Amino acid sequence: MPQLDTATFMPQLVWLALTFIVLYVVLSRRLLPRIGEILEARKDKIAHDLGAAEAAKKQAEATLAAYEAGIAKARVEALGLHAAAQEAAAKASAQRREEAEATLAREGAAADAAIAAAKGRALGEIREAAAEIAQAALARIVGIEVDRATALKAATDEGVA
Amino acid sequence: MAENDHPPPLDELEKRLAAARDIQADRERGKGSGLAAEGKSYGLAIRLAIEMVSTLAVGVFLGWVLDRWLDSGPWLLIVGFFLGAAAGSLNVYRVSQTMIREPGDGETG
Amino acid sequence: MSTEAHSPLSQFEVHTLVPIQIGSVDASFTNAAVFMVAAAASVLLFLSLGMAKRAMVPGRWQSLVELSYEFIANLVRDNVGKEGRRFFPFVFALFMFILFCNAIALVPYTFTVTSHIIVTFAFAAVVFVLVTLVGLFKHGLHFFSLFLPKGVPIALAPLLVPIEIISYLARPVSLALRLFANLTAGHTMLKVFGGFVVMLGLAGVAPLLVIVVLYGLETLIAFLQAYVFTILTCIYLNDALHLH
Repeated sequence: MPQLDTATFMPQLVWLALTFIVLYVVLSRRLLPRIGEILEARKDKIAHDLGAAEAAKKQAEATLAAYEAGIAKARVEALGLHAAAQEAAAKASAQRREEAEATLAREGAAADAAIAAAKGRALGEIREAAAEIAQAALARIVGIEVDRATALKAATDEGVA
Repeated sequence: MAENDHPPPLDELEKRLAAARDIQADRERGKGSGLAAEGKSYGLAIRLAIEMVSTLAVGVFLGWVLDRWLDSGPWLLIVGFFLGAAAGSLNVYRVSQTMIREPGDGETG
Repeated sequence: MSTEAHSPLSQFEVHTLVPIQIGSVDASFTNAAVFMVAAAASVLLFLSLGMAKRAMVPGRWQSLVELSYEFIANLVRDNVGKEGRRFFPFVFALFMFILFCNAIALVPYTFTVTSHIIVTFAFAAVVFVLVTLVGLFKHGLHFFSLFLPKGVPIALAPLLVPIEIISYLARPVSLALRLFANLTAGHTMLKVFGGFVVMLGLAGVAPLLVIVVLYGLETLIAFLQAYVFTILTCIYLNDALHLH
């Protein structure tokens, strides 16, 4: 086994020590601190960015809440307006109906009066006509001259028509 | 309505933020180094054999050195042999104990 | 042993390229030294080129560099704890050096630095000395309580203390032997099956398939052995710091 050849031990140990010590010194003095630095910087940056993202999220949430509150308020207002409008409309229509009813009642009463007047006049004319007819008939058939007032009275009492 | 369109993006953001935070926390905690199984059975056999042989060799060597120093014949070499064998067995026993305790992660010398 | 050109073990031979003698020390530049320098240079190149841009959002290469950094940083933190930070550069250098030695050795016609017991033992010895010194500095003589497990009857101490001392001394040996054995065995097998392929000609397809599988296994072992060496270093450091 070549590994057991003791003559090769010394040169191997010398070069191993040399290379490893150089490696160790360069690593511990220069390279590892540099790598550590950048890892640390990245960790800080990530933590910072996460914080910023969280703050932004909080703000977005606040904005959303404000927005929702605004919407809710507007909605309540709209509902109030709607109810008021409805009430006003109902009141207006009720008033109009009352007015219409009153007009109708007045016109009906006037018409009734007119009708009653017309009826009275018609009755009067009929009575007069009946008295005249009766007067003429008496004179012609019986030969009695009845004066106009008596005939009219009789016609009214007997109730012609 | 409009207000139902807004929460999902924020919820999602929350989830992503939480995930990012978890990853960062894991990173800082230093999630174990996962790799410990020394090639399972093959590695285990070689490892235990080397453990036994080297311990035994050290025992014998110490005995031999002491024998030469004290000029005490072969006796200390023999004692060293038995002590080395005992130490080797003890070490193998310990390795197997740690293996039983934490399977696949027993890495004690 | 065998010096034939086609022996599976000939790949492990060390040849002197530039003879150098410093006093009584033979510091010749050998083919092994070539690959040690190559490994160290590759590690430095890999890291410094990857970090050249120092981008906040890393590219692929930089991610790889950061991944290796965090891999070892986590390993040290998980196994040694906060006090392990001081040893992070050492552990990182150890892992990268062994990993790159192993990885370069996967390229055909290269030399496997870590297949030499003297190299792996040197690493193990450095770890052993470091761990022992750390333990002694931290705990003084109390460090030796490591050799007397808690809750053991004092009567058994004369038996158990030598056993624990042997176990402790066996650590660097098993550490070195494990890395050495894995790489030597793997590369010898590759060479043996490679020889079959050449010998069998057309029928060499079967061993070729074996080589493909073995090669995949070797790639895994290259990483795994660097990892095992590193994690055991961490565990020993932890023992010395916290005296379980």
